This record gives sequence, C-alpha cells and structure tokens, in this order.
Amino acid sequence: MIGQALTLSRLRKSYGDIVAVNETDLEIDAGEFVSIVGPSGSGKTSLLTLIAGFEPPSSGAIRIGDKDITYLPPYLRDIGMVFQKYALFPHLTVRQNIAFPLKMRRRAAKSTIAARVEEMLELVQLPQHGDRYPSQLSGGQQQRVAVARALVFDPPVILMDEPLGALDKKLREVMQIEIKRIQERLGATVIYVTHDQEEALTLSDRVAVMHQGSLQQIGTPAELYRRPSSAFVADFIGAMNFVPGILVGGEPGKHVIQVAEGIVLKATSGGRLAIPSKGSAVCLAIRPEHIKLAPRTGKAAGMLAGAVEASIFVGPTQIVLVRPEALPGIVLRVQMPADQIAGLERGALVAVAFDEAMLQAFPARERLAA
Amino acid sequence: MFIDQSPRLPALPVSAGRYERAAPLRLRRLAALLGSGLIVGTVLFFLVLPTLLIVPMSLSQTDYLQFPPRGLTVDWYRRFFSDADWMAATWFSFKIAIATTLSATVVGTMTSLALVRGNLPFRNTLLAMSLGPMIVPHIVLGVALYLVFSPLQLTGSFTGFLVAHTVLAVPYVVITVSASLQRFDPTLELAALSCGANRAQAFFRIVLPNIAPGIFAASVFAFLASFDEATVAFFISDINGKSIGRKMFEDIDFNLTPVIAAASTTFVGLSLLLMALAHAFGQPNDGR
Amino acid sequence: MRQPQPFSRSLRLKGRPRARSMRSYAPAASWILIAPAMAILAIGFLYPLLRLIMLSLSAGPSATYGRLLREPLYATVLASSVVTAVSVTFACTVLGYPVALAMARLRKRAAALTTACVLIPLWTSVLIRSYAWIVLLQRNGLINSVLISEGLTQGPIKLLYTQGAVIVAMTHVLLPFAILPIFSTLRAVPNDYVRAAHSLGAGKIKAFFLVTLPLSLPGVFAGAILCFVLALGFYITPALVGGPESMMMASLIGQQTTVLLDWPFAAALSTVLLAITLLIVVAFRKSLSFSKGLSSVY
Repeated sequence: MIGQALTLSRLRKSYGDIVAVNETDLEIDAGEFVSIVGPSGSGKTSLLTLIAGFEPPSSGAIRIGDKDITYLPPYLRDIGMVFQKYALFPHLTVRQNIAFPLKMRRRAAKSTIAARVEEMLELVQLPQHGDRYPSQLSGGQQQRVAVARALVFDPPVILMDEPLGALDKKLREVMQIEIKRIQERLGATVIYVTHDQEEALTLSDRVAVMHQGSLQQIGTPAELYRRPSSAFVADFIGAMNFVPGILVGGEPGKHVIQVAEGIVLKATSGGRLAIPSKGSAVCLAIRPEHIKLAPRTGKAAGMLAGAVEASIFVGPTQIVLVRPEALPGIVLRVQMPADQIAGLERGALVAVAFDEAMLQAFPARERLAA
Repeated sequence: MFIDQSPRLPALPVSAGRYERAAPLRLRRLAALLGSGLIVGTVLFFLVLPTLLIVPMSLSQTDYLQFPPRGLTVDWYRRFFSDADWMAATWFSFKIAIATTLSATVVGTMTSLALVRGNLPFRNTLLAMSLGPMIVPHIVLGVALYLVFSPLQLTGSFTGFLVAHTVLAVPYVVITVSASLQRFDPTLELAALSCGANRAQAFFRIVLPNIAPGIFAASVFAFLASFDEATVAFFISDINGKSIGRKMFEDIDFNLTPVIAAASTTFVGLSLLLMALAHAFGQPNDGR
Repeated sequence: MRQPQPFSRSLRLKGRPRARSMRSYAPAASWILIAPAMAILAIGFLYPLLRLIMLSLSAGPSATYGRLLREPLYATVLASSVVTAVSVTFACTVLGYPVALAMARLRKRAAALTTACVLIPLWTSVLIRSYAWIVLLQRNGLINSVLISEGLTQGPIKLLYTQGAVIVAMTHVLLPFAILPIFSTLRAVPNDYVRAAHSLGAGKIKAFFLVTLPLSLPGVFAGAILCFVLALGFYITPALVGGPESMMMASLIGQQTTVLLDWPFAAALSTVLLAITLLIVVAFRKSLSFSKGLSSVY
C-alpha cells in the first residue's frame, strides 16, 4: 500500500474579504478514497489547491502521515496530481510524460525508470502508445496517461481535480471503474474533486460536501444519503422533497409538525442543529422512495390528498409527480416500482402517505440558505 | 385585397420567376467574387511588386537605372561583393545584428516572463516602457542617441550600435514572446511542480520548450530589426563605422547604381530565408 | 507497516511560512527578470530622450521653441506632415481592410499566400522598398515607360520627388501595420455570428455591414492610429522619394542636423514631434493594445 493519511487542521484561505476555504478539519485515512463535492464556487478546488501547495493557506496546517507539509513548495510534497484537462506536456511523448516525475527525483537509475514506465503503461492499459504525443491520443487515453504520471512515483497522496469532466458519459463510467481499480490495487490515498455527486457516491469510501467554503458533512455515501446533516446536504446528495411546516409539539428528536390545516406529521431531527422552539418554522425532507401513493375516491380527514401531475418512465422504477391540494406551490417527487403504478396515470386523484420513520426536520432558515 | 389577388398567382409562374432570377443572382455573386478578388489582388500586387522589381534591376546590363532592363549580367553582384566599402558595411551590420539578436532575445524574453508571469506593480507602465522604442519616431531617437554617443565617442562603434539596436529590437521580442507565453497553459507549469520539478526545472524543461518557437521567431525579428534599421543608424554611424543602412541611404541619395539593386536583392533573399526559417521552426513540436 | 517507497522523496520537516502562490513568479524574481531591459532602456532610450529635451532648452526656450512659433515655415511643415500622415493612414486603412478580410476568410492555402504577401514587405528594409519606388517613379522608370509606350503622355512626367510619391511609397511601407491589427480582430469574430446574421435573413452585404464591420472597428482604429503615428515621424522614405515642397517634420529635423548643424533647434523640433506622438499614443492607449495584431506577425 502506497497511501498515507492526510490531515487538514483548521485550514483556512481567504483572498482579502473573500473566504475561499473556511476553517476546515478533515482526516483521511491511508488508502482511503475521499471525494469532495459541492456546487461550483463552493471552495472544493481551492481546498485542493492548498493541499497541492499551489497556494499557501492563510492559516491552519496540512499533514501527510506525521509530517507537516503546510509550507512546503509543491515539488517537495510528493503529491501526485491529475488535472482537469490532464495538463500533459505537449512536447513530450507519453513515455517521457510518465517518466518526468522520476527524472525530477533523480533517485532511480535509467533502466529502473524505463522498467517502471512500462509497468505504468501496462497498468493504465496503454502499452502500445508510449511513443505517441498527447495530441495524438483520445481524451480517455490522455486521461489514463495523466493518471499514470500522477501514480508513477508512488505518491502517498493523489489529488484528482474533476479528472473526468472533459469526457462523455459512457467513457466517464468506464474510467470511473478504471480509476477505482487502480486505486484499490495500489492502496493509494485519493482525494477526488467533482461536481458530479453521482460520480462521488460511486467511487468513494467517504464523500465530503462543501458549501460556501465550509465543509458541510463528511461520511460514507450511505450516511450522507440516509442522515444528511443539513438541508443543503440533503438537497445536494440524491433527490429530496422539501415540505415547509410549523413545529407544534413533541420531544427532542421526535417532533410533531403541522404542514397544513389539519395535517400533522411526525419527524425525527435531521442534522446536528436542534430545532428551536415550538411554533418555529421547519422544513421537512423526505426521499422520493419513502412516499407512498394510493388511488383515492373521496377525501378523508388527516390525509394528504393530491393529483398526479406527471408520470415518468425511468426503467425499473417510475417517477410520479404529485401536486398535494393542501400544499400550494409544492410538487412531490415520488419514486416507486414500475409494477405498482396502476391507477396513477396523469390526472388521477391519490392519497399521499409519508414513511414517517424517514421524515427529517431541518430548521427552515437553513433550507432558505441552501 | 388578398382574396382578390390570390387567384392571379398560379404556381408555375412563381417558380419560373424564381428560376429566371436565379441566373442573374449567380452572375452577380460571381461578379462580386471577382470584384473583391480583383481588389485584394491589386493591393497584394502593390505590396509585393516593388520588392520583386529589384531582382531584374540587379541583373540588368545598363549601368544606369532603366526598366525594362536590357541584357543579363551578374556584374553588379560581383561589384557589390568586391567593393571594400559595401563589404565593410555589410559585415559591420551583420556583426551588430547577430549581437543584437542575442542580447534582445535574452533581455526581451526575460522581460516577457516578468510581464506575463511575474508579479509586478505598475505592470502597464513597465510594458509601455519596454514597447516605447517602437512608437517613438526613430529620427527623434536617432538624434537623441547621437547627442549621448557623440561625446563618448560611441558613434560608429559596435557598442553604440549594440545598445541602440537592442533598444529598438526588444519591443519586437517582447510582443512575440509574450504572445506565445499567453498561449502557454500555466497549468502545465503547476503540473511540472507537482511532478517534483522545482521552479527552474519547470521553466527549462516545460515552459521553455513550449515557447521556444516564439522565441526563435522573435530572434529572427530582432535580427531583421537591427540589420534593416536605417534611421537611427543614419545618425550614429560615422566614417569609421558605417552600417549597411547608412551606406545604402547614401548610395541611393547620391550614387544611384544597380549595385544597390544587387545588394538589396541579396538582403531581401536573406530576409526571406530567415522568415521561412521562422515559419518552419516557429511551429510547436507536439507530434501534430 | 508501510512498504518502503523507492521513488518517493523524504519529506522535509522544516516548513517555510513565507511560502507564496505558485501561479506567478515572486516579485523579487520578476524584478530580476525585468531589470536588464529596464537598465538598457534607461541607458539607450530614456536618458538620450532626456538629454534631447534638455538640449532643446539649453539656449533658452525662446531661441528654439519661440522660433518654432514665430516663423510660419514650421507651422506649414507641421501641417503638411499631418496632411501626408492622414492621407497615408486613410489609404492604408481603405486598401488594408479587404486584404485583412481575405486573410481572415480565405481557405488555408490562399490565406497563407495572402499573409506571405503582407509579411514579406513588412520584413524587407524600408530603404530597399523606398529604392524600389525610386526605380518605379523616376523619369525613365517603369511607370513613365508604360505611360509613354501606351501613348498616354508625350514625354516623361515628374512623378518622383513629389508629395504624391511620398504618399504612395509610405502607404506601401505602412500598409502591413494597418492590415495586421484589422486581421487579428477579424479573426476573432466567430464565423457563427456571420452565420447567425445570415440565418436571420441578412444578405452577405448586410451581414458584413451589420456584424463583421462593427466588430472589426477596434482593429481598424488601432491600425489607423499606428499608421498615423509612424507616418508622422517617418524619415527615410520622405527623405528619399520626396522633394523640397513635401518637407515633413522628420526631414526638417534631418536637415537641421546634417546641413545646418543647429542641434538645439533640431532637438526642439524632435521634442515637439515626440510630444505629439506620445500625446496621440496616450490619448488612444485603450484602443492601441500594443500586442494586438503585431503578435501575429509570423
């Protein structure tokens, strides 16, 4: 295993009044694959820039293993990096590109370097392309060369900055598997920046969500999906329905929330923030697969009634959009098995039932900020 | 109105009308194409012809300037290459041009690096300053340099010319090299740093090879800027050190013979050769 | 336990809190890089110009600048220089635009040929080109021979050493300086814009006047200013092909220094020419983005 642990403590970067990265703590284990996701401008690339050493932090520390690298220049950090547009050296062949980090280190003999480069070409499945120039390769092939160049010197930490962003969807999926395969085989510590949350969930051991320069939550894909710590994370990872309401009772962790006249729901606390006091505005979050629909004829009290606005085929499941009568302006996204949609065609009247165990309440202001 | 008119518009005449109009339209387009081609061609002819005319002039047998030339001879070339004055001026200018090329290319490239990649206050002022010699009338600079050089006995000297021509050539280098630096993707430099190259290694192994075509082209421009320069040379030449520009100016002004045509043809040939080299080696080598 | 890492360097423990951004060179390095240029420009550019200005004031401003104002000859020369420069600028812009358009729009081969035709004269000595015009325009030159043999004139006409000769030859010399900035703005106009104009119903001519021409005006303007500034201070060509009645500022300076040897007065004339040039350049510095166009010289 080549990977080492990476620790960020209270890392901060500001440009004048603009805070790019805000007091970030992050511990990544050796050999772990961690993705950093967030909308553009959330500070994820700035964070990567600090780790790579292209910009000095305003304060805080970066450690690899037990060594402080906060103020080391990038060329002494031993961090492998894959850039957004590959950044292959256009005047060097594939072989020379991959050999470049080894030549800069002047540790190994020529024959060792040559053997190592061939090994890397095998690893990224480009053994026939060593003498080509980058401009003679396809996007996917250039990407493989970039990965090989970042890995060739067994770096303890590898950074990838949206490495698949320039590829089309099909190729991106192939390369995701490829990157994961190589990472697992070498036991490399990888920090992977992407704006594509699906890609992050597919690849990562853990995913870190950034928003406005701050780390919102870090956890396994399942944790982020099931227990988002804020309305922003809930919204950013996967699909989520939000319903506004007023806290009317309950106890800590078990809230009773009124969403409309005569309609009261029970929800758990979402996230770290405590719901303030009775009477305050909250927002309820629920995943599309945790809403049940049933055809209805009349209207019963305490039941959320609605009409189907659209029914969308997405393969094994069906997405049904429902407009509840009692919640003006809200369209619920419901996901259900394709074989259970009888009677739910467009315009059908339905009864909406939430799986209350999966209903989470967040402070309403937080939702607005997101 | 509408109802009234519609029956009068049967289908066939409409399409026939279109067809009739098509031919003149195509003709008009052809005429426009020919017309614009003619304009461009005339201007290009105007640009190139005077220079090309020198070649037959230099091969003419008559010893006064006449066109069209009568008879063919290489006598004027022989005279040019055997005339001590012409040769002295040519070699003097050649030495100056080579030295200017070296100094202007190095100094100009360093300036471009500082201006494009550096971190400098008053960047625009410094840029304007380094391009200034291109804008200031050469006669003004010539007079000014004479005033400074004359008491120092630098007129007609190699050093004097080197300083003056480096000043004149640096703007061309700065413009050309800055352009290729701006085309260079700075991420490549970061990539080199992350690969373990220090700043100097990243520059010499990654940045320099990628901007080398631009630097080469810049050095050709620097050479020509020096070798072809006549106005400043007119003022800072003297009897002991006369550049080819000054020599040609004098001969054109007082002593118009086809030797000038022979010399000109030789120098135009040299310029063309250098331009071709700049073009051939001025392309990036990335396997394309 | 970790395996040994043969290729990895041992990390240095001591940090350097003075670390800075790697995206640009440090200020100190930048100053070192620009220092040689600034030194040579100080010696061979700024200091001489300063000396020139000082010399023009050495005999008292009234002896030099006062004389400039008193004697109407100098105002006449300045006016004639401006007239010549304006004519040359106009001719360069009008003749240069179609060529720039051809360079930008023609297919690869034809465009390369056109570009070569523009660049070859640019990098041919001004002296040689002025000489060529002498050959063309003199009494028994090509143009007169053609005119006589076609029976258009009885004897040779005086073409050389006239204002016309100066304008024609200077237009020839400065034409590339007008073409290149226009070309670089035209090249930057995306072809999609023209196509969009066509798809919206504009014909070729309409699309040109409504889309291409307005978008290329900055280049036209930059080229025109460059031409005007260069024409105003031009020495070689007017000195060789012009006559006494077409005296320009630069010729006047040359005369003062080589024939009359009145250096303080020549310095004053030079200072005036310098001031006019700098005023124009500073006034139009926004549109005169220096690197525009000339960077496409090769």
